[in-house]
Amino acid sequence: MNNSFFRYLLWLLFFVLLQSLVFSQLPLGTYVYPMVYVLFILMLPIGYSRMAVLLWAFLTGLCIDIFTHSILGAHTSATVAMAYARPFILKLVTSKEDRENNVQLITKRNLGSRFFLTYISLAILLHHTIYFLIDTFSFFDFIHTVLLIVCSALLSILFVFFLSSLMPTSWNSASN
Amino acid sequence: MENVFRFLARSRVFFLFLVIEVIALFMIVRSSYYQSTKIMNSVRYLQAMCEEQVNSWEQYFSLKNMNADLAEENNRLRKILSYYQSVDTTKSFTEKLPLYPDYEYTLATVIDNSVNRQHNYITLNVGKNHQIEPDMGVMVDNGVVGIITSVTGRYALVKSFLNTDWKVSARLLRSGAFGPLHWDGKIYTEALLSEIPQHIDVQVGDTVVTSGYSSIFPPDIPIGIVKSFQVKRGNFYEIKVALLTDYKRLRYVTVARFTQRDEINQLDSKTHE
Repeated sequence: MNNSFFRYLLWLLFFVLLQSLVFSQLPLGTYVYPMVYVLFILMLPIGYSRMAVLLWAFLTGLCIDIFTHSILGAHTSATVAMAYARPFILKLVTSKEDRENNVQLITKRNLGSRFFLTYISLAILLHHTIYFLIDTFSFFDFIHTVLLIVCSALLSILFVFFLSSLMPTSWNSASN
Repeated sequence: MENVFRFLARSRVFFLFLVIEVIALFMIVRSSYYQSTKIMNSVRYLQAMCEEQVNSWEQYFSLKNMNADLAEENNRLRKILSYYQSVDTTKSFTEKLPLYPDYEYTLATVIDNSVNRQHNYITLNVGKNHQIEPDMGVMVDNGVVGIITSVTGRYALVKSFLNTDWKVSARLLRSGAFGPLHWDGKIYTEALLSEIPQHIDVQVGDTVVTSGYSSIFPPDIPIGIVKSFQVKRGNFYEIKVALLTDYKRLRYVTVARFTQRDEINQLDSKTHE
């Protein structure tokens, strides 16, 4: 527990810095805001305690909220909701053996590109929908919000997909 | 009773989820931007130092544009100066006093900025040490930049004009009609001017300036040009304004302090009693 805890803490730090110093600063216009930090939650091992995943999600969201000048709680609630939905999405894309093999970080390699893409797409779409609904906080100009969600989600999925191929497979080799 | 406990134990993940979500929602409701920015001051301070470093590297890449802007501004100022030199101020003194003596200005450099979100913020390299306080206006000579929301010793956080929950009081220069100008979160080069009644003569190409009513910005700073307009919901025009400021290229800004703010506030609070 302790060992993995500190490793994950390092990962958390890495993703928060990556998001706030790189991806939030990209000059991409108003409609695309990629949020790649969700990969941290998405790549936690399948068998990892669901309670722990929720707590990590809370911590991640909070850090991102603080470091990207956004509404306190917007990233948090979106990330936590995604973390809660994670096992259900995983059930769709993994076999029973996969779920028992639980020490590995979830990556493109050990899930298979197609399943992995489905997995992150569903999760990111959910996350972005919640985030942008909170961020715009109105149903007034709904097409605008939908555009925000779709464009940003597409880019996030792309980034997360490629980022994931750079990730180590198991957390034993996770810290360098 | 035992069943209840068993139920709770079985769905403890769900309950944890609920609890956390409620906390998060509570935070959203509680954190009006103003309060949350205040709480985050100490974090921002460290962050701003980081950003200042990054920014100093970035500046090298935009030196050319910056030079062009400065040359342009120099040119403009020289024109104004030549006017003052040509006029004998001892004779026509009363007419040509500095335009808005009620405002004091501080120059600042933008060290962090964003245009791609619904609630954009800007960090400036001036703070309490430079007599900067919350609620001061930030502007450039062709537009409004934002309003200071919180300050630390050396830095200030500015709620950008590109922030969907903030409005600026603006005026059509030709007709004099005024209304709130706000950004709708779509394109960072356009904003909407609303509450202009239909009997006002609006034309494409009209200049939109600050009204000066809010005592945050001095009046008559150009903000944008009317791009198109249409009637929306009742008797009012909704006017699309092309902004003059390129928010993506903000470097040097001016912080305006309204020196008589306390007095105005006093007056306001008296009328509301």
